[in-house]
Amino acid sequence: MTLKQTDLTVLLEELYNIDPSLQEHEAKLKELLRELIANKPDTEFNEQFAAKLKVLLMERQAEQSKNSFFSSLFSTRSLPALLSGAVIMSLVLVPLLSTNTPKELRGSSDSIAALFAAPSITAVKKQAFGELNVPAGSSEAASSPQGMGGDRADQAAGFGGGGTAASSKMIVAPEVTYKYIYKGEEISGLTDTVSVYKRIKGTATQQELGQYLAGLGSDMIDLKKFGSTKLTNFQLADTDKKGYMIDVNMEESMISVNPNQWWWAEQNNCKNGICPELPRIQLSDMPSDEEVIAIATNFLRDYGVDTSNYGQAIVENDWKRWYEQMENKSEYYFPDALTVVFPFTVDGQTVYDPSGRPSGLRVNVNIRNNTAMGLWNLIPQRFEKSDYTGVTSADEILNVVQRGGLYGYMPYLRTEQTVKEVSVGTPSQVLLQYSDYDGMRTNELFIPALLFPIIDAPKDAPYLNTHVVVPLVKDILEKHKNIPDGPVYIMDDVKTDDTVTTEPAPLPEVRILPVQ
Amino acid sequence: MSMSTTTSTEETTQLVIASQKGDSTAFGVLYDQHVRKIYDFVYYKTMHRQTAEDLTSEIFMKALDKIQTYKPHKASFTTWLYQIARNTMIDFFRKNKHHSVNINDETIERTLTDHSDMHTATDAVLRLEQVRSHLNQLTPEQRDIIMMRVWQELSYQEIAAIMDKSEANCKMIFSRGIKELRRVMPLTLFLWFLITS
Repeated sequence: MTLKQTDLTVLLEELYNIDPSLQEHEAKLKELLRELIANKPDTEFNEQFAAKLKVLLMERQAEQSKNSFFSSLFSTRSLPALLSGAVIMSLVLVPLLSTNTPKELRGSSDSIAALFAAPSITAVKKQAFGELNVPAGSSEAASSPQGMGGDRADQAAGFGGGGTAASSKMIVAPEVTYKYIYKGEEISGLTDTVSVYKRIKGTATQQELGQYLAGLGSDMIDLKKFGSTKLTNFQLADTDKKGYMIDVNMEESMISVNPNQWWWAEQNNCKNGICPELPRIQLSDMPSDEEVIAIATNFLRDYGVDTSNYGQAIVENDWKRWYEQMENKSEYYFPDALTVVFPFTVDGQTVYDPSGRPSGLRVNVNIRNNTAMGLWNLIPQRFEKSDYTGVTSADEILNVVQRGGLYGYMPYLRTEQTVKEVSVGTPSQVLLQYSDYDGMRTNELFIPALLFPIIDAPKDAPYLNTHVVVPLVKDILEKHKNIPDGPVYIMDDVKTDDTVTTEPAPLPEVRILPVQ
Repeated sequence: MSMSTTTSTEETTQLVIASQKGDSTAFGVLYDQHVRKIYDFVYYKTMHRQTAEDLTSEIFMKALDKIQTYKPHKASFTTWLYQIARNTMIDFFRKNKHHSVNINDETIERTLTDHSDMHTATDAVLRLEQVRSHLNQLTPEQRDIIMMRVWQELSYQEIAAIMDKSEANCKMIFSRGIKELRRVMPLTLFLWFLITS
């Protein structure tokens, strides 16, 4: 341990103030204190122990407040008034895990309800989530602007010159590519420290429930032989109301509600798996955004989902852009369902995905019968917050903007390639929902980012996103800075390895040309 | 979501109040803020990881069970927690009179591993044991106060609150403990200089 001169000086001064005669022995005292400080034991503090103890304490506290929880639950007060967040959970789980539950599960019910009910942000130490600059090839990818993807781990660094053998996964560059030009105000307000949020998922009660269920016994198979088990997800079916299936993913701490296909097939007079053809939706059938949002909002209210922690609801209306592009509009197939997104907000900031779309709770609305068909991505908004180094260079940010964001493309020029310009405007600060894979698990992070609106784009490019998102965490920007996460293109003058077969990528927008 | 984070000590009281009302996340924050300090405090007195973990668990369980009895105007939460820790340690040593503060095999192995050279590694282990043995020659109060001041860098004000003594008294005990160490260590230090020079 490095001894700070100030520590030693302070201790000596304290001693002299207590007993001035000690000054006569300063040399020996210095050695003594140095020895004490230098031999400060390494206490072998184990983070895993601390984490496990924390879980036990949380469950103990939940157990202690169980009596008041159940008494208030079965009072005359309405359930939505009692619980915030996912009251769906209470409707399906509390009756299941009542006070008649076996002793080993008594702590679980409140832990589960608490997990899904209480939004929170807990500050943790700086860079608590580890390094965020694990190589880009190991990260999960968001959808790219043109729907192109590809196995990034297989892509060779074939840009910047020839002589590199082409991977079988390389594809030929498209004829048209886009360059994003910034037309907004000067970028300012960048800070060298930013807050990163990590969503807390899972619960220790998964183990309890898993062990309990495995221990119930079966004549067909002895589940206890599998050793330690945990419950990762379960599904409930509502068969007497609207025919919903409720999926609870405990590992991801997420609830989704989907239509019970069998119930809906019966409603639509389907026989033997064959359903009568339904009439095509027309433009006049498409409801306004306000109508669709109202249906979704009422659905959530009916099932006690509190939307006060979400941003302004929006309808995903990509169909409008594609409809405008159709030459023969009478041939366009209008969607019979629309999605309403209730954006997450964390610490007052709206959350977006890497393609620049609001990320949040999603409700599907069926246009034919004006009914909400289900919801997805209902999560408890519990986060840890840790400080990381921020991006302070506007130039670095604009370099990423130029290629269309983290997963954009480098505009490799071919003789036949056309580069079209897209204008982006002044950004706003938001949070970006980002998956960080550290080689073992995926952490769901919410990181500060700038959201650049596209203010002018070619009319014949309906598939472009409406925004470009650039993260403000230095590690993450570094990871993506030099390696574009879109496909790598074969250059005209790159020689291919004769042993490698270049296969065309199945992408409708790209016309495959023979390699020269 | 409009929830704000609470990390500063002046907001600890709010966390405690929330925890007294059954907010498990609030107690979780308090736990995160204090677990390392309490664990280190226990470890310095036992020099044994497993024992330190067991006792730390016991301390926080007690704190949780007694959280309703904590009164902010009487002492800071940190002080209150340390008092629980100290009382737990007193009970522990009362029940385990044979327990001595010596380095254990794990510490020896780790110390040896930390040094690439066997000569310096062995020397480090010897010095570690010397410091331990000298501390053992102090009174428990002297040992506690020296460890809290030098290793845990607590202020005399905090130490006084934990020990339920006056600041002046704690300073005097610290001074006497240092004098005692100075009395027993010179010969050892001399030998150490001989060995290492």
